[in-house]
Amino acid sequence: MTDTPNLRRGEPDEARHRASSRDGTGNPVPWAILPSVALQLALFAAPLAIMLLYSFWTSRNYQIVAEWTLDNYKTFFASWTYPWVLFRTLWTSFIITAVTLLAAYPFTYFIVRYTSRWQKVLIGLVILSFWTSGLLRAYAWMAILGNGGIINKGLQMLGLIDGPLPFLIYSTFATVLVMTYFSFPFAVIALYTSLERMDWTLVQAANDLGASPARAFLHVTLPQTMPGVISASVLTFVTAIGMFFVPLLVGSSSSIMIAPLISNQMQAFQLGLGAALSFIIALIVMTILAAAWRYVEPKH
Amino acid sequence: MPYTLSRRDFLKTTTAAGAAMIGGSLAGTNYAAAAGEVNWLAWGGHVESQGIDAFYRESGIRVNHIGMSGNAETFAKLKLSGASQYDLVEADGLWPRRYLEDGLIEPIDIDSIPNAAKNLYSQFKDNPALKSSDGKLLMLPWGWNPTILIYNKNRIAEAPTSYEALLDPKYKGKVAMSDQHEMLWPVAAAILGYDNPFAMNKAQLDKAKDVLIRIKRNAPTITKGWNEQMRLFIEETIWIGLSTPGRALTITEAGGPEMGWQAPKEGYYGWIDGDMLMKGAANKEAALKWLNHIHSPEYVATNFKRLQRGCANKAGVEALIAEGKEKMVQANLMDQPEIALNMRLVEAPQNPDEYAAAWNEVLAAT
Repeated sequence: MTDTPNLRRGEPDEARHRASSRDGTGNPVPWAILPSVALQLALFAAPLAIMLLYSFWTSRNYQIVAEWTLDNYKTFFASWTYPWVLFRTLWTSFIITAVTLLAAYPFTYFIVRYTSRWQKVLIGLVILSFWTSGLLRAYAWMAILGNGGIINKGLQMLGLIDGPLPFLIYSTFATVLVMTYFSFPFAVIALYTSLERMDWTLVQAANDLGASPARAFLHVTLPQTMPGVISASVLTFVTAIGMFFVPLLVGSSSSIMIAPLISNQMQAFQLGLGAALSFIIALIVMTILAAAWRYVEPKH
Repeated sequence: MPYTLSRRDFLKTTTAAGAAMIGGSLAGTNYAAAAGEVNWLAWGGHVESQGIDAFYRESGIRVNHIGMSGNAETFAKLKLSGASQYDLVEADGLWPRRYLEDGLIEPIDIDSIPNAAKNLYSQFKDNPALKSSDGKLLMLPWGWNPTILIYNKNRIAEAPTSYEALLDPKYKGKVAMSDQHEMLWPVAAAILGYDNPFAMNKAQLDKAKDVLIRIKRNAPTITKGWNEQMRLFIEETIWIGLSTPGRALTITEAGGPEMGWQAPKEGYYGWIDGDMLMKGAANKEAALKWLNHIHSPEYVATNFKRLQRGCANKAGVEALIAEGKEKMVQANLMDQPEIALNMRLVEAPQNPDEYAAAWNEVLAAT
């Protein structure tokens, strides 16, 4: 057990925390972080290393062969097929992120600013959707958006349309709509954390000094909640890039995203190419996370 | 006085509970080992839980069903992780040959399974395509069906006679296309006049890929599984596609439009599925008993009533007719096993890597 120096009553939490991670001499205790490192290695680094290894190996005749090759990466760049699908995936994910933020920010703002008793209940209702399977919810959306679905049937019964609306399902619109629905709770939780901590007296001060509501929002509220906005964006963007079943179920067959292609490679046991595609995406995601981290990391 | 649990008491209690749990599980293991078990890697459509329960009550053998997906994926998994944990595995068409070549299965002596020897149609138990060189069966046939064209009779007045109909611009957005590309390569090859759709060279595969891209452009989506495709047929989102004859009736009976089916003039492929015995299966005797059980007329009738398609088991078909299911039997060609002999069977592609890459390009195409 580590000997911790006696802490005076009222000593700041930061000092207490610093003391608990050091031995009596003030040096860091290396083994204290071993469990965390072991978990990281087992759950993150090892699978990634295996994937990296496979991406430089050959898949032949339903077997992975330990022959070093760059062919899997060359295949990615050999034709426009994969870069184009990747670009399309990034672009669609960007749109999904933007739409999610546009929906989630005002919603969360309203909850934090104008509700008190019902705040937790409303947030709870948003989280409630996690209680059922994602696949089930995607199928439910198919029943809503499909040609024989609630919307089309309802509009036809009201005499507003003659035939089903062609863009409602099997379209990029459907992918963006359903993915926004899936990302919405993540974004709300991330934004709620930021908005709840906000110092609203600063907004009041801006108003008192004559700032318009829009100016106060842009110069006071938004900068203070930027970590939440960045967290929400990252969570949404990363989820959208890797989403597999939503584009397959409701998206257009002519605008497929990258995850179903990787899945197809894996199912056909093209592990090398599948791993190379996955690793390229992982690099992109990690770059995005690293860039976002600069904004999320609290500055002392 | 509130009850407090000392550390010693806590340790005693948890140790006793742990010992009881381990003892219980060991006792259970011994019981299962004594009674026997079968590890069955099979499509969910072949599994009747009541049948498994009845077999357990009757024999004391526990059947552990493990779900499987496509032929290629299952074959690859077994190659990677080994096949020793399974006793029985299922496959389609000529895939059992591939399993045999790779030393994964051993042929089945049909005489060791009395129900199969007695109840299977001769078209299946004597089919040379399903046999090893010494005359044993590589796979015990179960279901079968040709893949032909089905169409909405309300929307398409004249029966389509060729696969070319799937490329027809007048059906844009109305064509069914599934993700079972194993069944799509024969269509492209037939349209292009290639003899073997599973042995196309790179240049042929490129052309076949272009045909599939053209079909994809006529399809609103690539469906994942039969249920999704059936819903689209019922709500008349799609009018024409590849499927099996019985499914035309299934769509109509589920509230959909009147459907017809037509064998295309280019000929057709089909599948016969069934169970293979893994080489050196740890529970071989129990596995053979289970195969005997599922080939009883009762199990067969229950299964094919639930999931309709062609049936390799004559006694099972007769049981269905005795139940008054003639319409279902006829619609699914269950009483015409000779049709199975006209089908060419799906098989493992000779260059699977190129086929996988080509299918990916079909998916990625705009």
